[in-house]
Amino acid sequence: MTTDAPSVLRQPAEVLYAAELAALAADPGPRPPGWRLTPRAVRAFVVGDPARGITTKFVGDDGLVDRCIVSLMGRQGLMLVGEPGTAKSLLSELLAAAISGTSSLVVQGSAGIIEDHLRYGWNYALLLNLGPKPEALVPSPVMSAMREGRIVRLEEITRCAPEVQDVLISLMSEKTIAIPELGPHREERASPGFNIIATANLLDRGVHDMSSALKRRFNFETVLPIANPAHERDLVARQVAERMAAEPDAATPAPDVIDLIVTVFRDLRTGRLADGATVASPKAVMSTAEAVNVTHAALLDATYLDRGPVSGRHLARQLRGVVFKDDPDDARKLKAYIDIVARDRAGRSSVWKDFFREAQAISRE
Amino acid sequence: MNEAMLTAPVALATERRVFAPIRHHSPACAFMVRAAIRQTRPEMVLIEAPSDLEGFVPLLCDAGTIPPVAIVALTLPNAEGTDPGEAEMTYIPFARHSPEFVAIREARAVGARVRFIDLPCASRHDRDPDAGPPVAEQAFGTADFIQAMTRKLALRDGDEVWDHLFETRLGQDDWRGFFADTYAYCAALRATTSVETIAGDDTLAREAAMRWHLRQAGEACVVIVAGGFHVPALIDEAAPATRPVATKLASYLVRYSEDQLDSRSGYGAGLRFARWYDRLWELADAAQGPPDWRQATLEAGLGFAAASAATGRRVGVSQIVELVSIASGLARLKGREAVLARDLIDAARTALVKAEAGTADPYTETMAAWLTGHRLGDVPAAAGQPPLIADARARARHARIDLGDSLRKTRSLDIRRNAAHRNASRFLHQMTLIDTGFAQLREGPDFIAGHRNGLLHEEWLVAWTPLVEARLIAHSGHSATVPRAALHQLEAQRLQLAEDGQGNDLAALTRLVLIGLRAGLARYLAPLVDALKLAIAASPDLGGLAALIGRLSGAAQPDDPLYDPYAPDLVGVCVLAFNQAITLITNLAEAPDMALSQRIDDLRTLDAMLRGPYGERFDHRRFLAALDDLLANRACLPRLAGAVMALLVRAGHQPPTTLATLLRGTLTGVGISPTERAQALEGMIGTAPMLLWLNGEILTAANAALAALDETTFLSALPALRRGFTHLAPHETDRLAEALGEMHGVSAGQLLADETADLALLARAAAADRALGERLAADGLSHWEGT
Repeated sequence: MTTDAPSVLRQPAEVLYAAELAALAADPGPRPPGWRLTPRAVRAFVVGDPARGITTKFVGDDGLVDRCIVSLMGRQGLMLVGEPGTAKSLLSELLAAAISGTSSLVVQGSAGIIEDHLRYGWNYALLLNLGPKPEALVPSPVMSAMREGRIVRLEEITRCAPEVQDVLISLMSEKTIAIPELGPHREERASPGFNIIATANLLDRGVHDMSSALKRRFNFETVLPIANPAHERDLVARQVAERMAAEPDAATPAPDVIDLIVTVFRDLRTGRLADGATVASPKAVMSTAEAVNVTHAALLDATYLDRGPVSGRHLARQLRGVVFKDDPDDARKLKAYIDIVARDRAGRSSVWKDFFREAQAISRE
Repeated sequence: MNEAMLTAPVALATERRVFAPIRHHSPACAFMVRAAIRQTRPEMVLIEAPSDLEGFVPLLCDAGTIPPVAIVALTLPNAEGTDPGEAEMTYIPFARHSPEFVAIREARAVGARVRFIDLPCASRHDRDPDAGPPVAEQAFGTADFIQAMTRKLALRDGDEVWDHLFETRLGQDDWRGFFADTYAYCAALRATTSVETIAGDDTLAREAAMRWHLRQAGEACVVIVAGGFHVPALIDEAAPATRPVATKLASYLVRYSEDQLDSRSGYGAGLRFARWYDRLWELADAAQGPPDWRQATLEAGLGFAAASAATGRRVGVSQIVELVSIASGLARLKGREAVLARDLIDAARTALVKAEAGTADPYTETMAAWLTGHRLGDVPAAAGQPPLIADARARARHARIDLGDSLRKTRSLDIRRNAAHRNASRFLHQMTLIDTGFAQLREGPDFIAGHRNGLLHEEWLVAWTPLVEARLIAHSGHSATVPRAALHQLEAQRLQLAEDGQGNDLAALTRLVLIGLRAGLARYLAPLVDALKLAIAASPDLGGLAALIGRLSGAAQPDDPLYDPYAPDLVGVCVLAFNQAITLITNLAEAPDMALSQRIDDLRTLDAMLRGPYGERFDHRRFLAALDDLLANRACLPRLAGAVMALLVRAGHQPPTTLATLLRGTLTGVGISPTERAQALEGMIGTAPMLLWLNGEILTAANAALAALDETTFLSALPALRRGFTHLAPHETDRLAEALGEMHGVSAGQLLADETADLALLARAAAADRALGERLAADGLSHWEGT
């Protein structure tokens, strides 16, 4: 479809923003041991600094970013929690890229994670050939981070079995991994600059509880949905544009289309309209990421199936499928929202009118 | 004028005039003001405070006055015979670290005269009470300058910026440099606030008055302590000065508390976290220089841990260490050594919260509460009686209650027909709400529970005793008038509901609203009504919503005793409840049989709203559409279907034939039980019985269906049918009898058979029955009695 397809689907932050990181690395000032940038520079990288041409990458809560940086300077790990779709993994990637210069020391949590993934494994061919030698050892990302004094990211840590999670307990207190196979008293001690950023959805299905011993070793920070509607609109517009960059046939969505989808999501997420009236909030998580998905799907629908500009109609079609995944009660709440709020706004705006008509037709089916 | 303020050189400190631009309650400003007065040794100290309160200076200097205290000023003097009405109140608080307080005491120490130079309180009471804090205070948060500064310094809001730039300088010696900087800051605030905004409240009038006072000082050496926002206007000698008009006022010095000093709690002028700033002041005072920030931070950590343990959340030593270290880290990240209040709150969040947390969580709230404190100040005996007692006595006299002795007297109040009596009743209900023991209701209508509403008079027992005064004194810390104290109690009751987990209980909240209306607090009920609205939006209880609608719609009628033209929009609340009820109607098909009668009643209540005086405010279309959906649901029981169909037919939304068909179908149905047979008819009678005599088609269909039943089926269905008809009121039974009589060509009287049988006949029948029973028992056939 496109003339020059990118070689990979998604570049890591340290490659994508290499120029900015290089410029920030030149900043004078004391750095905590092992850090590539000063704490202020890390902050500027994440939050943005228009004066120096640093783009804003994480929108919303500057205070949160400050606290994360200060946590990582200490001995505790950083645990980012929050609803799905609030950019926890993005923040973790940005912090790792800025502080350590790499965000690729990652362990993806899942039920299949075993202790080896957190400590070390063996290349069995070499092990059989050479015996227990350092060459045969396959370090985990955690061990590599300890060796190199970098940040390791543990994504979705609560999806690992509790016994496996607890490997981290003594690792984080002692900051060392013992390797008895290589000989007595052999261990790998962490170099300065080592720390852990973990992310977790605490309230989801399929997650285990963290033991309180493990919780004590982390500083928790909750990443909240974006509070400012204007920021959210900008973010959705930007992300949709990035996704549609590979499809040149698609027209850019009009601002009031983005405004509609962001407003619908905010109303249902917060349970409040702009004028303070309350609406019933569905159980499905109405995150910004989902808003981007809905808009993306609507754009594809409009471009390839309808061959026209995207309008409220397409958004209505995609809304139900993308958002309401399990609770039938949610359908009732959406119906009430459309019946009252969308009907009222349809009288004042053509985008809302399209949206309302299509949504009503769908709900009658 | 704005540009000139910023660019022209300004002489803040000259031979005769030393300007000290301050922010209220700022300890750094207080420290500098003290240094300025000590060094300058002026003849006069002019302070930005209402000029009619100057008389309190000696009392403020009294050793028995221990901050936090406040001067409370009431507009209306409590003279004999005048209606106290709604007194306007202003609180002028003083903390130990308030620049004004420090200035007063230091002036006394150097022998300078103190003058208050702001507009008198009374003229300031003409402002709209809902206007919020004065522009001069709001500017510290909202001026465009602040937006730019937050971005540049990477801070969150105006309070953080002020703390970062100025509170960190607490204890330093260069007061001239400090005030030059506060002047520049405040001039920038003023320059980036629009002229319209400044003219929007009484700022300009106040500045004119202050300039007048300044001129009166003549050639004397003067130190002027005023809000930084105003100083650029005061330095401008050319601007006009107006002599303020003196007015009469009632004012008192009262104890105040640290949490009331919190700007969040409504006063609007000042800094939050009173205890924290007080401690910093104390440390700076002791050191006669900068406070030991590290020590203050450690104390905060330990104090917070103690407070947290008191709420049941123990904090370990390692966590306190982490908290202190994060707070210090945050301060250093922002480029300063001094750890400030917001750093501590952020650190509490990071170090202690071990789960997903929203914007408010118990740890940060505990920290914020600890930093705010709750200490109560003290006033000397010479300060006199709190205003609340004076207000209560004035109101009692106005209600013609003799306060000469403490004997119990009776008062009878005709609340429906006499306006003065109604006001007196409201006063007595307020006093009861405050639990003063002053008044006790012996007899009268109970509008809250809905009993004996027809009674016209309230009978009260009243007595003014020392116990009443003691109770009032206990409340005087937070209120200066009886209505305010009553409102405070109402709010406390609402908070208690929330603590007990009943924050969303519709009946409890409605009850509080009705209590507030009865006590004449209607104009202050907006927050309570807002809480009720939130509870409505979350309510899954159709019955509760219908009950609420019934009660509140009554109070919204002009002829109701609870009606008050200043009340919040109660019909609006009913509309919200109505809309919420509509969303719950779809679930009625799953309602258990036992609850069905109640739900049908609820539907009737909802329908009545559409026909009531405010009918056009309710959403007819959605209600009827929801009923349609309910009918379409196959799980809908016949009784519910009958009820719903009747409503739809009555509203003209469905033709009568549908109801007729339904009745016919259920009455003559094949293979259904006797109780089920009568269901649809019973349902219809539950919501719209009038259709039977207003609509010939329906009556004919029902009549024909009943006639078509054979003897056995009819007899078996008879009890259920009779139960259905008992729901009719007597006049409805008469109407039905008339309609039936017309249809059958007989008179109604013949249908309404007189059931009062001959007493003698009854007695003989009872005797015969007894004799038969004895005979059967004697023959050993008592088991036949059951057949």
